[in-house]
This record gives sequence, C-alpha cells and structure tokens, in this order.
Amino acid sequence: MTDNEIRDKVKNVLVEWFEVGPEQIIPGAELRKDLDFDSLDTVDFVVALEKEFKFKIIRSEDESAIRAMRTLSDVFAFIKEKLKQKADS
Amino acid sequence: MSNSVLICLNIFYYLYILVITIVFEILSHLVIIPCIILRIRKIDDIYRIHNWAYGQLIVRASRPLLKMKVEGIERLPDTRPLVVVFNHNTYVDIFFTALIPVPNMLIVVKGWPFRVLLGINFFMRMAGYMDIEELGAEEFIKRSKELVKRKVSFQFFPEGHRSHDGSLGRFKSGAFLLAAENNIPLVPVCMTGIEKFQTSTFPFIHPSTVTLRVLSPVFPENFKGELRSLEMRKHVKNMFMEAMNELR
Repeated sequence: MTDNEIRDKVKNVLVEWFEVGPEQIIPGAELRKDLDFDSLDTVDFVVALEKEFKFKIIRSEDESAIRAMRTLSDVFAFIKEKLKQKADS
Repeated sequence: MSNSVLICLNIFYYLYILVITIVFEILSHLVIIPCIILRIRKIDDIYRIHNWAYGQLIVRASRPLLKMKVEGIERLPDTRPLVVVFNHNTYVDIFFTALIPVPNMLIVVKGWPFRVLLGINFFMRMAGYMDIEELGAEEFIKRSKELVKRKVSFQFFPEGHRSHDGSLGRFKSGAFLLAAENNIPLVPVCMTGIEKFQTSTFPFIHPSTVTLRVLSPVFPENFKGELRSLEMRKHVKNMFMEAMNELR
C-alpha cells in the first residue's frame, strides 16, 4: 500500500467516524490539540484503523506505540509498520 | 426588558440563589453527616444524590424566571445503570440535567471544571466525578466497570465543551464506549432554551423557557461488530439533530 493510499484511508476514517473536516487532515495535525481527541477517542480511532486496514492490534507489542502517537504523521508511520508486519508474517 | 431592570434582576437572582445554597448546604449536611458516620451509603453515592438534589432545587427555585418543560420521562428505562447524554450550551446546563430523575448519576467531564470551579470542585470530587483527561482510557474503563457493578449511572456531555453558536459539536467517544463495553442503555436528552436563559459566555440570566426532551433509549445490543460504539455515536448524534430541529 502506498503512502497516499494510507493517507486516504485514514482520511476516510476520520471524516466518516470522527467528523473531522478534510482540511484538518494534514500530517502535522496533532490528535489532541488540532483534532480534539481525548484518550477514549484514540481507543475508538485505533479500532476503526484496525477494521479499515485489516490488521490486529497486539496490546503487549503496540501499546507503547499507540500511546506515543501525537500527530497524524505518527499515525501514518504506525500503520505502515503494522502493514509491514502483516506482510512479513 | 431594559438593561437596568435586567441588572437588578440578576443581582437579586444571584443573592436569592446564594441564600438558598447556604440553607440547603446546612440542612443537607444535617442528614449527610449522620449517613456518613452510620455508613448508610458510600460517601460518593451520598454526594452524587446531594448534587442532584441541589441541581433540582436551583432549577425549580428559578421558576419565576424559567418556564420548564420536561418531555419523554416515560422513555427512561427502569433498569439501572444508564448512560445519559446531553447536548451542551452553557455553564448552567449541569443544573438542568438534575431534572432527569436519576439521582445517582456520576458526571464525566474533561478537566476544566475541576480546575476552575472553586468550591464546586469539592462537591465534584466527593461525588467521584471523573476527569477523562486525568484518568486516561484504561483507568476510566476499569473504574467505570466497578461503578456499573454498583448500579451507578453516568452522565456525559459528549461534545466535551459548550457550543458557542447553538450548533451540535463533534461527539466524543467516552459515553458510547462505556455503554457498549458494559452493555448498558444510553439515553439521549436534548436541552433547548438554556442558551437564552444564560448565554455561553457570561453568567447574565434572562427569563426564558427551557425544554428537556428525553429521546428513545439506545441499546448497545442493537449494534453489532467492532465499530458498534462508533455506530451508536453516529446514530445518537442524528437523534439529537432531529430533536433540535423539532424543538427550535
């Protein structure tokens, strides 16, 4: 999956499920400050990403990466890594 | 109404509320303190009921200035606990939520009320209200499961903050995740007219009519799949928008 495809899918999730305006979806957008996410929104967001990208979150392995996500760039990088793990397994 | 009349009205109103508050706190603590000593109920339960009773009192005592309509109470499920969600326009919304007859209701908020509302934050802490920002997702889910076992209901303003223009903001996940995780009914309540009673930016009150409409409860078991809390959220938001269009 290309970077643009990842971005488009994340954009779909944010617009469809989190009422985020497309203009807000830029790599540098901060989840808390710009998209007004709290920790529970992040839980839902990760569930939606799992469904969209068809990967599985493994709590013991992924929890620290999820906690570290601050911006959409971090989200894109996390998804890329999960897709790579899925392809390798 | 002229400005000078409005100013006099507000001075009188806030003095009147202050006197009622002092009398209520004295009388209520004559009951609360023995209940705590005798361990009749847990302290947080007692203070949630205290806060609910205070909200009821303040709103009903404001009757000369407020016409109130509460519709749809018969839609409230008999079972407890519930998750009750309200739209959010003003600082005083929280008092009007007490018109819903669910006394043991824990309010989940986002940070600022604990930091800013001096004096009131004592009663919030005693009632065990939860600050999402402070707790984080994992601790919130863990604590809420314990409270569900005690049949404590939950109250959210899913927009997370006041609307400054009366429109419905983005809904946050907390209420819907909690209802879905614990399989408890979620009851939306639409409030209108409070933004005319007190504007969202300044505590100046105006005579007005306030309507609370209890909408049909939403049951998590009617939503399937991994995204069910998100689907619930979307469904409830649509319910609010429909109700607000009808009421305005």
